Amino acid sequence: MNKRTLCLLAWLWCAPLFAQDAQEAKPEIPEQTELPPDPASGPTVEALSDTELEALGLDAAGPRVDTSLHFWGFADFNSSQTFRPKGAVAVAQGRHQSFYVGNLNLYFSKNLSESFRTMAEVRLTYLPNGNFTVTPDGYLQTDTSAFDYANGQVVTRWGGIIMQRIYLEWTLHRFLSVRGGQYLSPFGVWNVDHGTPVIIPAQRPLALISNLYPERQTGLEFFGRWNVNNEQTLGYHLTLSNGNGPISEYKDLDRNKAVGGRLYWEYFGKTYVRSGVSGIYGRDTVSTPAATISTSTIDLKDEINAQADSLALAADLLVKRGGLHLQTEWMSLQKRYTTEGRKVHAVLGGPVAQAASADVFSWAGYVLGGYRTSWYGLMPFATFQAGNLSLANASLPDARLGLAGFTTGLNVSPIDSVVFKIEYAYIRVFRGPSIVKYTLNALLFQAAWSF
Amino acid sequence: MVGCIIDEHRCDAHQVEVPGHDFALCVCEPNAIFNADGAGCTPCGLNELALNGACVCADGFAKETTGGSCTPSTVGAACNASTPCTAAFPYCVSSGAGDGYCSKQGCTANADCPSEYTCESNDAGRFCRRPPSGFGVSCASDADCAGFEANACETLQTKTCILQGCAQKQATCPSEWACCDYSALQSILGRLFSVCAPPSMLMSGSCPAPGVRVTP
Repeated sequence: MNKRTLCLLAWLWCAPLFAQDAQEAKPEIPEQTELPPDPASGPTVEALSDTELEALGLDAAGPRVDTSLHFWGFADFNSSQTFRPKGAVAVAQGRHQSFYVGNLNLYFSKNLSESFRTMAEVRLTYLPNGNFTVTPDGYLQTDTSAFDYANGQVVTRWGGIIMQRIYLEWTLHRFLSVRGGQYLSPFGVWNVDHGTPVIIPAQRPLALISNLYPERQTGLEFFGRWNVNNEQTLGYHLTLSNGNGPISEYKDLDRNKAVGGRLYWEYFGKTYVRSGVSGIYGRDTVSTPAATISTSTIDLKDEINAQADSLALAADLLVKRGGLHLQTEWMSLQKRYTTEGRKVHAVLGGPVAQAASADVFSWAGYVLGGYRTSWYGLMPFATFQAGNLSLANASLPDARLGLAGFTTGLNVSPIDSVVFKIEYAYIRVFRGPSIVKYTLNALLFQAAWSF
Repeated sequence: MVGCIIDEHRCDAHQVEVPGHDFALCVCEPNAIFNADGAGCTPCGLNELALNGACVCADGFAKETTGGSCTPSTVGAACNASTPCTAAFPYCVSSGAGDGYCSKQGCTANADCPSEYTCESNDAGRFCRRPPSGFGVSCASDADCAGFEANACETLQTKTCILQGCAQKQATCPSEWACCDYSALQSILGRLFSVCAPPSMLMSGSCPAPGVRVTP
């Protein structure tokens, strides 16, 4: 373990201990009453007689856990209207009011035994149809039209599946569980618990969609929690994964595994508090194999196109008291290129024709405040967000944006499984290349539901 | 500080950060060039100047052999009927009115010529021709390039004098250079645009994006 990894772990352990409940609970409507943990080693259960169990359809000799397959999910329907869209906003958001289904996520879980469990989540999407790339040659859009051989060759458009997570979980002790597979990175408030019915605004804040912290990883995750007393819980996550490369779902393009973790603290008093700090350090490599083929051998060499060491740090705080809801998340990303991976490339729209990428420090954060009333769960809310980060567009990888904005709206839950949101969003890029310096001015509507 | 992996110097050795906040970029320090594999920079050697991504010999110096260093040389020296060239570069290339310059004949490829010189043909056969005058000189408009062979100013990115219009046969590129066609930018520039690019500006033989290598 190198010096930087030790520094990261020291930073994690020495920082204030705060938290997130990173359990993948069924997506639920937010603002439900938080239940304090049981300080005992486990829940107190009154034993039922065989007759009582039989009356409930259970077998006393059967497994002590529910081993049935559980299937659930969430979806959302949206409408967005941008006002006077120009330039990059018009390209990214569209110039006209649009209806769309944003997410259809399906969850599967099953307790394989008392200590083994599996869980999977997939998102069904219309992508990549309509995906676009802005190049000097213009606006290139993906078209997935295909003749449907099973329906008289009618033209149809195929979509895709995004694997959100799939893992096997083994609970060794209540202080230690292990997951192996692909899992959502344990950080912040709305990364693991990312169902749209749970998220208060219609769109997740910029900090969560700017690729500052890897959304998911493939590898191992160790976690556990400790109930300090009737009102407090401490928990941890440690991760070892392929990191954040372009095909990190199944291949690590360098020898350095990413190491990360999270510490959190929860307080279940009259005021509910949950807060945590997270971090991940690893090497991101973009490379392509180059093969030299002779009569008897194939020699493979990696041609490194880009390579950087990256350190992402995050902190979050959630406070609830009565109907009051306050939440903030902050995250940062430091990228330090290796000499081999700092490759010269053409710079589109930049001050020089060719250059290499400089090391960068990016950050973004938001503060959200709202008040949940008892009338249909109506919640007025407002969010302020700001950041200084790199543009995710591959055509302008070195462009830097300074931005700030706010959203305000209403979130209402007429029944437990349905949430309606209406929101006005204003985000201004106040610093950056002229071709992406724009203002987003939009009205968003979303109906999100779990099932 | 714990938790920091970057410091004030955000580029590699022999590199400097491009000023400004809109892009996070590194370029080579003055008189250095990017290495051939695209990673890192190397300072130019003695009597060399960085020009268009390559180290070239300063005036009065030349690499008289492939891979050699820049040494005092008479190649490129002015010549006329009363001031003939010396033995090493005995051929006086006429360049219209006025003095010519000293070079040599009998080349078959650019590698046979001093650095940056290209192997061209004239009525007397093959000879080593000096680089286009003005090529790579800083400019703000075409007026700054007037009088040079590279008489057009590229104002989009490099802001240097270039040979423009090769795809439209308004300019002839030196031997082994590429003609890069940027007609994709016509909607932005309002005109057809193509440039002659020396091998040092090409990336694996391809023109810098979004240019397309064409044969005029």
